Amino acid sequence: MAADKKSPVPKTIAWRRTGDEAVILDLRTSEYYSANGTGTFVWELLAAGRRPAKIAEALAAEYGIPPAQAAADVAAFIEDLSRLKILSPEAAE
Amino acid sequence: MASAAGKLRLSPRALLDMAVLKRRLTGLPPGTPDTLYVGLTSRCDLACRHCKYRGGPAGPDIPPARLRRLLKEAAAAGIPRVAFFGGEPLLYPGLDAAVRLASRLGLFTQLDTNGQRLGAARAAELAAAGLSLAMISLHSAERSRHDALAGPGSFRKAEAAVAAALGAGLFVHVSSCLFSARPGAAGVRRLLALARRLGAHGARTVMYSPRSGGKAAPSRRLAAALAAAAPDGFSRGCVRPGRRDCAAAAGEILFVDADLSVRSCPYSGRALGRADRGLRRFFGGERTRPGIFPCHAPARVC
Repeated sequence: MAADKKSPVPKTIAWRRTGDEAVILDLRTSEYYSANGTGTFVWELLAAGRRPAKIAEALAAEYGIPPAQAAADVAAFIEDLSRLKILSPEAAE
Repeated sequence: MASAAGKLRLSPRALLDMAVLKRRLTGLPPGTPDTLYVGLTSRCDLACRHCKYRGGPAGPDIPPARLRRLLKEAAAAGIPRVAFFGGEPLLYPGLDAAVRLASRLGLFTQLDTNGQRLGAARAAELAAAGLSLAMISLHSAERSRHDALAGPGSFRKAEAAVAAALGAGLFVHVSSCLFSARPGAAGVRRLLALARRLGAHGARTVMYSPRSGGKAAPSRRLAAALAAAAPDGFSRGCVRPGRRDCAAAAGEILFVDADLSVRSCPYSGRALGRADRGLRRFFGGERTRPGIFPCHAPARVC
């Protein structure tokens, strides 16, 4: 899948997929987080530079959920990531 | 708690490896060892008084093809960490390739070394291959005591190895065979102080040794002294206060020697079987097996 824009993941964030989940590490604080299955699905697309609207479409298609719910889930997930300073603010754009 | 000196030098890759390891350890299925120790060779460039390989004939190194298979089995079985062991693993010609494969398989990769050959360039090579942690033997805070156990000049080289590994961005732990050094509580405090001063991120302590010639190790007393000296968790040992089983008896680790014999830990006195027919049948620790399994620890420990 082609990127829509530059990855919004700062250089201070390192991550790796392990099994079904992504482990995301903040190198500034050494705090780390794990994303669940759907979180990892969204995270990988975000990290690849996909726009939230496209990610919501992919999420709805992958998990068979209504587009509105997928859009809300993606927005909430991005908000969480931004609050944790894992993503830069422009990620939500 | 990591020392400030060490923490500043960690590479992002090693930090991420550690985060992934910690995450995987929280979800480890019951009975799955958290670490596979692999004896790559029985050859060594030291002759430590407490070592089981001292004075014995050097057997063949583990065949590279068998090692590759073993690492793949470990990863497939969900073991999150591999520790390359010896003898001295830096003498094994295929070490870099093994580290690269282990890292590529998603295994947290550790090297247990006496540090005599771990200079800055070698440490950097291994870090580039995917090594995350160097476990370097320092048996006493007193140079003379360490050298008496491991050989003249070995203390200085081990100290230098700690610096080299830190410089390469690796996690570094000091590994101490306390029974051999017979440190007492004050000696334990000095040892941990030395490890912190060198910038190590932690210390691993082994409480016993079959070759030290002493009576039963005061393992519980040493474990209590360690806990008191490092309440922040800087030090971890195979015997822990309040726990009856050692890590090996509880099945938390598994050791495959260069001859493919499987033991519950490198110091265990009895082979559980051979690794030729897979690792999973050894999961669960010695407690799942009837019979008597004499490791070299004193009876009141195991």
